[in-house]
Amino acid sequence: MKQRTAWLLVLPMVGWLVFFYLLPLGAVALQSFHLVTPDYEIGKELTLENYRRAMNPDYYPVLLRSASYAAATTLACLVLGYPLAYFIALHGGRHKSLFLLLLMLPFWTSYLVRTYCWMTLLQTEGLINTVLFEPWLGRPLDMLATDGSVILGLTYGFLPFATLPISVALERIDRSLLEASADLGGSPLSTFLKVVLPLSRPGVIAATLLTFVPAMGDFVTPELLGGPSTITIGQAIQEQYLQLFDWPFGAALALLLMVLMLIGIALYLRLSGSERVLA
Amino acid sequence: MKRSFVLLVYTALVYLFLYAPVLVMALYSFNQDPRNAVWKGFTLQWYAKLMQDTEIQRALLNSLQVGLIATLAATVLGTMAALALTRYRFRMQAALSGLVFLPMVVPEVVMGTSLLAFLAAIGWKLSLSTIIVAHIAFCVSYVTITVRARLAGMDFRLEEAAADLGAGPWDTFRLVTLPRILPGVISGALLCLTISIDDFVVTFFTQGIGSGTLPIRIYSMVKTGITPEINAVSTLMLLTTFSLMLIYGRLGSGQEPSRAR
Amino acid sequence: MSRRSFLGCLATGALLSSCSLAPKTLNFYNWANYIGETTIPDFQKATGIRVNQDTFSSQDVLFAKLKIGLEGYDLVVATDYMVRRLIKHQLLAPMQGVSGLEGLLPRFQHKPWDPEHRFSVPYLWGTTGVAFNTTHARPVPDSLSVLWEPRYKNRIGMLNEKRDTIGAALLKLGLDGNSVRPEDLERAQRALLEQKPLVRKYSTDMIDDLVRQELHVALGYSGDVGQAHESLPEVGYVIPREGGYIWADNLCIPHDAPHYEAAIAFVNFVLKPEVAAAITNTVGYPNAVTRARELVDPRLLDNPLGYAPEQMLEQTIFQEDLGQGERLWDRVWEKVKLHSV
Repeated sequence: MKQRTAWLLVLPMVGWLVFFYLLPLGAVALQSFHLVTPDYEIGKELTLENYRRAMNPDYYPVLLRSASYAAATTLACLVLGYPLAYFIALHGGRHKSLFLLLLMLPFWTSYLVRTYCWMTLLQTEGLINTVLFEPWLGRPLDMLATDGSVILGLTYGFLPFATLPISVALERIDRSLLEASADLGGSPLSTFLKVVLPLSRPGVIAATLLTFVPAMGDFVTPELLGGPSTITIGQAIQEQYLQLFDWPFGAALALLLMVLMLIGIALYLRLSGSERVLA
Repeated sequence: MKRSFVLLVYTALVYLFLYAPVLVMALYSFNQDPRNAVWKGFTLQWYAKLMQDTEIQRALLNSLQVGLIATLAATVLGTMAALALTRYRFRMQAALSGLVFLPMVVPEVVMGTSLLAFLAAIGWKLSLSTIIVAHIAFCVSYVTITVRARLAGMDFRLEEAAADLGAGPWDTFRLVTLPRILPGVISGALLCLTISIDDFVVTFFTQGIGSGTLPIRIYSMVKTGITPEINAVSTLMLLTTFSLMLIYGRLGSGQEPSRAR
Repeated sequence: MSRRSFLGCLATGALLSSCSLAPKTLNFYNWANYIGETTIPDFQKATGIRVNQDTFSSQDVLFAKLKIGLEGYDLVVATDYMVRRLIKHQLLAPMQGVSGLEGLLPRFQHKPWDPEHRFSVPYLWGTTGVAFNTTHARPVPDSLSVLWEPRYKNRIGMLNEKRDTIGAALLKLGLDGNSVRPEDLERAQRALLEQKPLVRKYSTDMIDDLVRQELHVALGYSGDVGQAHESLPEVGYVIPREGGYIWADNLCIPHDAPHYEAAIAFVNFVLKPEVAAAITNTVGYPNAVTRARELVDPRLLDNPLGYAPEQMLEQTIFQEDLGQGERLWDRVWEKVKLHSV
């Protein structure tokens, strides 16, 4: 009986994902074992050549770079997002939902326009240079097309994805629990470490996943805010698909990336002891 | 209290970070320069142009339709799945949990092209419905993950008690479970709407004639210049949402916010 | 509209899609803002055909969509190299009943990949050359080698298009800009890798960065640079002495176009001198209709940003079909983009 209820609940989503993700991806997987012909058609012969090519050492620094961007982004999002979530969940009071919506509102405009606005702010003759760096350093700072500008753009884009789950988890915390801890002589720090942090763990884990995973595959941000030396694996795949029109090779790259990330997610969930929480 | 003052300042700074580009965007919607790269002087012409631009209006309408329908469907599907995956033990659970992460690890261009090829193979004509179907697919995992973070560690004795007292499964869900997980559900829905309303790649490949959304329109302006008209439409959208929020906040402020737990 | 598609409309349309019951429509796929202010309403008035214009963001995504199929566009705008690729993949319908082809500028007639204009009619055109900012780039550049000068480090922009950027390297080295000889491409690759530490950005959109003065010299498209010039008069443009590319965006009919007649009517409409001139005056890109020239804004004449002077155009070449050699270009491009500096 319980088995049946569970299946009924999960089936619509599973069906949806199987139909609109797994089946199309199956075709992609098949494609990755063919070569593209000189006429940009898909060859007939079965081969592992695309995978051999994907092992090309040229791709290692690209993969490493993407992973470090994603890691830096996740860290920055947690540093910025956790206190924000804490404030909203525990001090938001009556205006809690207003604060949450204010957090989302900037993202209901266009990504492209927001990024162009960042360029306006960061450019050599932009606002930040004029009021901040020129008076202090005596010269403008070249901020665009650097690792920093890419990480900034990614952090900006993923901040709500980190903040929301943490605030949801923190919201369950009973204010009286905190007061009790204080009454019993717990310092604010120990209250935070012993009560708040453990309770918010599922939120932090979800936040990490929701930030790291999409940031790892992102390609638009490095395309716009990055430069020649900030190419990411997402860009490399995009380029194989759209510029060089080598779909089979792009598919091989994408599948390798996906397998790598799924393994990473599984490891992360196991190591953080949160399998029962999320998976 | 000093500590909460520090927190307040920190929060304000984070909001400043979030709104810095948005303020620039609003300011530049009054820019005379059609390329909108440098400030050239004040004008209202882009708002006037927007009122007559049926293509942008249609794109905006498409965006809203797609965003709202996809969010609604993905929230329902995702919440159901999150409940099943957390509350029950069943065979293949681990595999299904892994499946949830799939949409997040597939690069967009791979999803877009393969979905287009798949739709072509089964003969589904491209239209707004194909965009919605695709958006639901990449949105559900965000809902499931967010709702599970809420469900984690929750005990279900309350549900069992309700069932023992004779409440049917639907009533138990509606009266006991839903109020407790509502913040998670709302957060998931907000994430969905955010992703859907801004998606370009997958939407591009699944759109049919006349069903382009606002991002499609905006990206295609890259060649000849993204005019301040786009800033104007974004600014108006923002202001509308904000006023709706305030009105709703006023109407709803009479009642106590629903207590979690 | 057939009965079946009408019923299909009711079935799917009941949900969301807007199905038009108008007798005649034209589904036009174009860049955004790449048409005259009143061209579409004028055409509608003249012929009674309703135009649905959709817009794409790059030629690559256009190709990907047409290749997979399932679309139903009647008329698309495709750049020369894309026309060749579409022909090769048999994705275009031959055009019949187009009048006014003899009135095209001679340079745009009888291109080797479509000598009889069976598949493509030039719409607007431009060149690929060197853009510069006169405040920062002195003396005023006239050569591609300026893009390799260390004193412009981090202020150099190159196009994120393999044909233009690898081609620029070939031309700079004094080689054929359409070469498929491995040793030529080897040299081009070396030149591009050498240049990479100096490059700020590989981008398709140079305009904003030129206007923001983030870039001081760049490889760019004439019409784009023209827009940058409108915003910032210090931005200039030259077809370099080593040579540059000339290209056209063309009107093409996909092989499965549902409204073929309407597409032909639109092509004929756009070939009228007054219509073509109005488009050029709105968009800033020159058109290929000879008699439209006298109706065009004089600022665009004898101006490298618009109608470049004839002796400048003498130095330009078309981007020819590379045949099987294109894969060599792909490999060079991959190498250059992935290379870490």
